Amino acid sequence: MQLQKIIHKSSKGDRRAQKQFFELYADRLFAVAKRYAVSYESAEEALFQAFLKIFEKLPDFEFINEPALVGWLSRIVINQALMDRRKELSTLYKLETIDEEHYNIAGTETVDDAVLIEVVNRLPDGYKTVFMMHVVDGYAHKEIAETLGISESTSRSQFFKARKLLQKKLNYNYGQAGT
Amino acid sequence: MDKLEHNIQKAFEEDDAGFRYQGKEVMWKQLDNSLGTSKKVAAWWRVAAVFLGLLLAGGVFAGLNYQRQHAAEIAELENFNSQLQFELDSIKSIPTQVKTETKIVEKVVYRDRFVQQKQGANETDWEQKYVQLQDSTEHILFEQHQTYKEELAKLTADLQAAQTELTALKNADNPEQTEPFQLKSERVELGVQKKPAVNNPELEVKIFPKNFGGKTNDLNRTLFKK
Repeated sequence: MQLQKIIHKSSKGDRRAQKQFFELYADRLFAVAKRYAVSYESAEEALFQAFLKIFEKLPDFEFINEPALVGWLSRIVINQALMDRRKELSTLYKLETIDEEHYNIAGTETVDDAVLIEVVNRLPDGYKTVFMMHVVDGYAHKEIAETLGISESTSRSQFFKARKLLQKKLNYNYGQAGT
Repeated sequence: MDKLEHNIQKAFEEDDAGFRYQGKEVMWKQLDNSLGTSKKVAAWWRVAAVFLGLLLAGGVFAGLNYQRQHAAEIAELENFNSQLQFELDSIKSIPTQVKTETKIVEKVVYRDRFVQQKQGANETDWEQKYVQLQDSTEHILFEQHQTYKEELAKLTADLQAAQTELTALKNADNPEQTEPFQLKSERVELGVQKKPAVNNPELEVKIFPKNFGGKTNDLNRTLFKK
């Protein structure tokens, strides 16, 4: 069945189409939820709540293409995960201690993806969230500020600090990449 | 975006693409249940909302209507009250006078009446009219009653005369019935008949005036001899 047809039927409440839709995007969206949630269980809960919202809002969604759809779905999941996390971590955006662990990897061009993901995941929560929202999920600082309830300058500041920390951890040649 | 960020983005995208979530079936079952329940709940709430809305609208309408009706009633009562107050004030301002009126009705009908009269002619007009009307009505009724009485007496007299005439006519047809005493058949036991002993000759019944004496045939005796 075509994606557009699936979306149309899902929005009408067709349970079979809704299941197909869920099967199509559950993996990808769970990966997104996992990035922002505190734990695996929190990610599952966020995904569940997000899908309820998605099926509720689907009749209002205008399908243009799949990347737009994925972007829309991701934002719903991210918002839900962040909302859940805000409840769990009340001290999220306080000054965070930065561990001084270094990977001592020379030349990040050859760094394995898994190591990169690991390094990002080990960032303090505030840095990690802003960095991933901006870099991985394509949020602008204004959007990040609105979503997280912080100022735009704080978002920028957190992002730069996160990047600096990453570079430091990876012993990345700062001058090589430029800003 | 620098190279590090690009690499990180690419790494995450590849990681996302290769990720498989194991609890999909379980989550779908939960979603299926929740979607069904939420739909039912939504439908129920919609019905309840409509019902409550109607109830609320009805209540508001009834309340407004009652308030309007109540206000109209109050206004009407106030108006009536002020009217009464005005009348009361005007009555209070008129000095009252008690007048005794005696009216002799035709044919020994006396009526003593105390009529409270007010100096204002307009206020007592209706009372006078009422009394006059009452008197005239009673007078007419009395006259009618008298006429009926007279007519009744006349008719009674006529009836008696007619009855008398009828009796006379009946008596003329049956003269025996006119006798003051009527014969009544009655059996009388006479017993043994005896010869009347008449010693006084003056008491003797004589058809013939001549005295028969001696040897001549006494005709009177012969006639009455049994």
